[in-house]
Amino acid sequence: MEVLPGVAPVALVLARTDDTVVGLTDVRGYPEGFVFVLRVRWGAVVNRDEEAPWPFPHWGSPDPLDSDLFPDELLRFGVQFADGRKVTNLDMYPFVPEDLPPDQPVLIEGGDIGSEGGRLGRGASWDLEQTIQPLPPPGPLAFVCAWPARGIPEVRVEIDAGLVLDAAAAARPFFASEVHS
Amino acid sequence: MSPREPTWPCPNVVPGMAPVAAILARTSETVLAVTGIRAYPAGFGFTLKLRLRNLAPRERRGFWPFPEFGHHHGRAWPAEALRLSVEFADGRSATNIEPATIGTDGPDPDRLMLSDGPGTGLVASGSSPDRWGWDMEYRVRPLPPPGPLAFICAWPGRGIAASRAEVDGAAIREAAHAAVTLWPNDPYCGDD
Repeated sequence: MEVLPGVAPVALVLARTDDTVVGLTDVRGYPEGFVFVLRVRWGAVVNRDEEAPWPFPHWGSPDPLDSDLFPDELLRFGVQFADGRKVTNLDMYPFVPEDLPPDQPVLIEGGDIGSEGGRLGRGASWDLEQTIQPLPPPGPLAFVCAWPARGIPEVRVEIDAGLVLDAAAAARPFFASEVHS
Repeated sequence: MSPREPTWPCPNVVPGMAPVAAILARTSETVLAVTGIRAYPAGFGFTLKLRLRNLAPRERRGFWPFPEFGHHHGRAWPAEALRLSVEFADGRSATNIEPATIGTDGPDPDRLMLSDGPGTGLVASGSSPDRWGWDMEYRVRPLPPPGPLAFICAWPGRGIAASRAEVDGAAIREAAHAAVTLWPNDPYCGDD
């Protein structure tokens, strides 16, 4: 059953330097979890012909056969629930192991917004839709990121998980006849 | 997007969020919903979610109900075309079947403009072959004044007469104030 998600009033700048920003918007709540858009921005650089690399794990950069699986060029990003459970983009999902505890949060990239990269000459930008399952418990919900090669140490921004839970509670089926199907 | 229209919204802005998720029209076979809303200093963006089921055999083979993405040469719009309008509290309005033109001096900052945005397309056909789903991104300029902001749709071909949903224009303006411009004086961005 597909639902119209509730929307949480969340727009965050997780990290910001002179030439790099990691933001988070479009938090939508579903019965099984929540979705958001990670907005990554690089400022303009001098070399306009330079190609923007793909700075996220699991999408081809770096080569997983290289010796260093997690070079400094990768953006590290994670979510931590109030009860301590956490998941990061380095956890190699969506290859979920069969013995994963059912309440262990998972982070899955993808969705309908997708991503867009620009050339470094005028900056680069990526909008990445991320899905977290399950819903968080009440209490602080933390978004954590670090990006060594971009001069961003580990930073942590917390919101009230109630915002996400309220959005999830507001989700409703598109078609009323499917409420109980 | 018109080729003469500058890139908007500029990626140099992290938008503020107005938590809107409203059913615009619903029948037993068709649902239209507005969700978002991403607010920028010069306007806002929203997602129009369409979900269709119990499609006719002809529809199952594929159809495209968005007139702004196709060419239209007739005098009347076909019943299959989805009409979408946005109306401000002060009476200004814009529609997808009569896209605003941009003059040589650029867009009129006071004229309401509705245009398609990035991230538009077919999202899923559902779990059965008789369903279609689209998430369409739209952008509106300028920001609405305080008061009711109306989203209006009509879709004769799907049995939907004029239907509307209203949200608070002030809430969108408030979200726009929370938008963060990342790098001032970006040579590749306008005032949004």
